[in-house]
Amino acid sequence: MATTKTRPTATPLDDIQTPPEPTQQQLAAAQISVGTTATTASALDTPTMSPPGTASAVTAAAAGWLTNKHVLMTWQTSGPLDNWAFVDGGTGWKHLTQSGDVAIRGMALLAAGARTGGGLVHLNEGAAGAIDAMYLW
Amino acid sequence: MANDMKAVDLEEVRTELARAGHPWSTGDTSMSVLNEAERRMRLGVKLPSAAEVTALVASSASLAQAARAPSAAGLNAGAATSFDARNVGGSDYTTPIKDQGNCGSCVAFGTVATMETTAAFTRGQPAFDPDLSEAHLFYVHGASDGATCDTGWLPSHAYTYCKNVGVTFEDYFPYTPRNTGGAALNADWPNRLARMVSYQTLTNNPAAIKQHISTHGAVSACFVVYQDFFSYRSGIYRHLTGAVAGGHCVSLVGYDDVGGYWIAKNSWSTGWGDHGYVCIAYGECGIETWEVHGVDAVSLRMWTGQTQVVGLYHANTPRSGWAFINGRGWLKVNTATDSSHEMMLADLVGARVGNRPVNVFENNGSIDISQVY
Repeated sequence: MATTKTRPTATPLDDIQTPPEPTQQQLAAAQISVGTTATTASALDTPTMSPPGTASAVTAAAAGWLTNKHVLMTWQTSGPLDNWAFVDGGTGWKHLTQSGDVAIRGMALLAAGARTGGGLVHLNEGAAGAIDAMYLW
Repeated sequence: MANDMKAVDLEEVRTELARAGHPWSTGDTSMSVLNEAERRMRLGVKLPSAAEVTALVASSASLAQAARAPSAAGLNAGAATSFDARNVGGSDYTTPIKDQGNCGSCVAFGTVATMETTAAFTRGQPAFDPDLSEAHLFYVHGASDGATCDTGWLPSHAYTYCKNVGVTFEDYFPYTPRNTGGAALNADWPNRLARMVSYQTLTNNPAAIKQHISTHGAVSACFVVYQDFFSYRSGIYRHLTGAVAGGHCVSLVGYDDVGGYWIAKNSWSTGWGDHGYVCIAYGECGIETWEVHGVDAVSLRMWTGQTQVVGLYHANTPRSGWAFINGRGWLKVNTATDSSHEMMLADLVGARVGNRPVNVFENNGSIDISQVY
């Protein structure tokens, strides 16, 4: 039984276009990049983006955000705070927020909905590489 | 008033317009065909003394220069040089033109029109199109403050009621002229209510008026009405001829520094003015100097009616779920407890994923109840 936080290694079964998972080198580079631009937690408490296709939706291209992505797979274990989402466009597996049980449960609901419905997501990565905020459209 | 029942003298107005180079056009309107008593009945802001009227009109005229050349005077930093809530990037945040009929209820109409525009504009939701009840504001709140169709009212008093109590929607108390007493008010009105969160007094400050209009969609303003105003059809209105008829309240939904005018939404039906609107020149008739107020935000307590979940959001803090509801924008998911938050969020995610209609009860920016069909 997996009880430790191990990054899942599976790839989506139904999407042969999915690029291979990033290498450790790519992950490290991405985390360095994100760490310099991430939004603080307090700034994330209220959504500010508009739905895709609206006049003000262009603000979505803010620093620290991965925009217009899809969740191709989800993963969770019996370990604490161990929910993951596989994001398309070469992003790969991303841990959902590590800030606490209540927050990760809410975000997991959105990730599950994103996988089931195939809707667009915008994701904000925290300094540790986990997703700190998620829009589902 | 009985000794002055003549119609508006259009020939005299036309003569003066020709002399002034035709700044605006005149013609028969829904007001010019009424008798003088009926016209004056629609001017529901009691005029101060003649000396005070002269002073506020003169003060407005002196502010006009600053309003026309704001950048030179350093007064207009931050505000756009023009704005029209009827066309903001192609979206119309105003509500339809109404008709106050034979009652001095213009304060209720100007105040409610301002609330409606601000409610839609600050949410970024032109499709919201709220229809609030002037009858509730005037025949219930106004009546408790001593206002009648014959006496009129004051915006400063109306705003106090809109902030402290709120106004229900038109379907809970439809407006008809002189429907006094509040007998038609739906008893469930506290559950279908719009309330001003706060408001600003902007009198005598054209730069602040513009700033507020461009960031909140509208302000309400009073001005002195002269006889020529009744036959206005289009163009930029300036008083040219005729005596003082009374005081009136409208909602300003735009302005233009190049043309030097405010865009006012009136409540004399679409048969008056330019489809119910008028462009009033900066500095005319006390438009900037008599009871100018703007609403900061409008909170709602009501069912949305059947609509759609457009998007969802969750951050890295507990109970930080939001739903973007069509016609309302972002609403916070119920935060009473962890479990109630998660269950409502799950239901709304299901609605979004399954593309199912929802009806939610909005209470001051949060969803208290959700229903998925």
